Amino acid sequence: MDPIIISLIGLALAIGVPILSAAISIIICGTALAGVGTEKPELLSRLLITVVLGEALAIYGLLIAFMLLGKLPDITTMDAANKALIAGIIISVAAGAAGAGISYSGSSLIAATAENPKTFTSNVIGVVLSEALAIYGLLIAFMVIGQI
Amino acid sequence: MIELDETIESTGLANHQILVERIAAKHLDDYDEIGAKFAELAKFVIESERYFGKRLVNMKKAVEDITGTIETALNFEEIREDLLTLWRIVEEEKQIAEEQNKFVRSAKTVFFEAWVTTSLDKEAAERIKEASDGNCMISDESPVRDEKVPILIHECPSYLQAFGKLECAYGHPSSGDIDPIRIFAITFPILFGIMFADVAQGAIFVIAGIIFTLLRRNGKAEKGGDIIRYLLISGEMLIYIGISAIFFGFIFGEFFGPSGVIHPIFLFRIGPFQVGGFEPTQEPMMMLRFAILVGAIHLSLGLILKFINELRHKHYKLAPIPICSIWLLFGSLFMWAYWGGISNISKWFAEGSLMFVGLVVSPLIVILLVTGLAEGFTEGLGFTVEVFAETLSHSMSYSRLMALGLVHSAMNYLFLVLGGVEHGVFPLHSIPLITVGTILVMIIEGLVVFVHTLRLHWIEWFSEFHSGEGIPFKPFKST
Repeated sequence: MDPIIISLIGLALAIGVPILSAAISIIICGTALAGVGTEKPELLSRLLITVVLGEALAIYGLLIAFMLLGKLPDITTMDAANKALIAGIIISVAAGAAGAGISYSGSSLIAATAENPKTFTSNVIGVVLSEALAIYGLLIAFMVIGQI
Repeated sequence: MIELDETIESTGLANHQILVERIAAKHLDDYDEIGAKFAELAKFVIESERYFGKRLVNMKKAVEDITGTIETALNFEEIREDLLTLWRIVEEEKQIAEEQNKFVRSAKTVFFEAWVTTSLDKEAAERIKEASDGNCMISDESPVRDEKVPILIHECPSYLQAFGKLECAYGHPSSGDIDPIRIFAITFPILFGIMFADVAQGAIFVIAGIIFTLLRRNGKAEKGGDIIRYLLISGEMLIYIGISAIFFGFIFGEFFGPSGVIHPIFLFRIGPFQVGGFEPTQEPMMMLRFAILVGAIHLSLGLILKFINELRHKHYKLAPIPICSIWLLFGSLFMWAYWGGISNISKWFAEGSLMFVGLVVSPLIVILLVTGLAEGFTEGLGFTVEVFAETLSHSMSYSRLMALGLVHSAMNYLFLVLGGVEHGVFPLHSIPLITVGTILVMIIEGLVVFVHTLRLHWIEWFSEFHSGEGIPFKPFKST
């Protein structure tokens, strides 16, 4: 297969899957947030963190896609193309996992905080740790791109 | 249906017709009965509607009469003051009654406990004596060690108000802990500036911040919706983060993105860590190292605060732990830098094994011994593993400084390319596009960077020393 096609598949994965997972986490957390907003609007500013952390997943995908786009002219060998594909796969899997984590723990965090606002500080850890998963994937994807 | 089937079977198919007719006739009788009942009901409904309609008209008349008499008999403007005073008195009585509900009482005695600040305890005792004509017993008890004491929340100075709100959203400091707001107000803009490094956009932030601050000082904060109020409160904060963004914009050479107007300014270099003098998009690994260095410094600041907190609480046995954590943090950072990155990790265990023991293993052993002696070795082992994992994951987490910084740069670069900006020259036709791009980047990126800065502080930094479990002291005040 043509190296360019392979690296383009990597690029598509790198932008597509993180955006999907960001969308899923925003859909789930955003609807939960809207429900809480009607009852306890004072909690909204705190709970907004779930939606924005979900959005950040798309940004990580965007970053890797940008970097791959910049590397496209250099990709001539199959070896480099495979690395581009692998980088795309890494960030998509990591963002997918982080998206699942944010969706589940984010919506639970919102419901729990609406019930008892004191639990926010301990429960938010679930959301931010899920989001950290994407950062680990991002770092490794980044290092793989650096080797192209 | 079952009944019907059985009957059909028993009588044979010939009788089918007769059977159906018989059943239908039986049901028709039922329907007639129901129909009659419905007719009765309908009559009843019509009658009652007439009856209640009349009563409703009468009641409406009565209400109109009453309002008419009130309006003619009383002039509300005149008695408004009296009514307000009465309302205040009732409010005060209600407050007192609510507080009294918390008292324990028998037929002749009342018992209550309350927190009083040290400066006011004598006065409070005097007041209670006065109110009860001396028929009271007061015992003054100081809080026992490690008891949860409500903390006095000092009013934030207006230039720190936004940071105060962000800190309170996480939780108040526990009693005896340092209130980190002033340090928070310094580190927050720095981390924001690293991710949002841009001279021009920073300047826009500063201008917006000045406008919002002026508007708020002129008392416009009360008007407008929630978002307007938040913006006005964050006026000063926008100025700080704008200044920080300008500073890092000069260091990384960004003016509406990597446009080439400003060249990166080299500041200094510590080993492989270089501050300034490179474009993050061109040398992302350099940026990553810088981000991790910033993270290590930020985390060690938190650990120093934890050390001070432990001393203030007189937990001398646990005080060495934060120091060992700093040792571990910088030790592993040094190992990482000295042996040339994570790809050479095998050298840590070969040539560098002595250094590895000294810089990474020893602090962990000391932590294990210290917690083991203070709280038992099973607890200590768990805690040591936790310290190791947290040090690793928390410092890794600061790589988001690099990631978001690059994304910010890349998003700006997109609009620069679309607008045809080359070598620092902005053609006239690119200005509308750059304007749109700047607005988009400042809103979307600004929000994302803001939340990530907040997250770095809330999770990575506060978890080192700031429990957020403090209960604010709310003295009884009659309004």
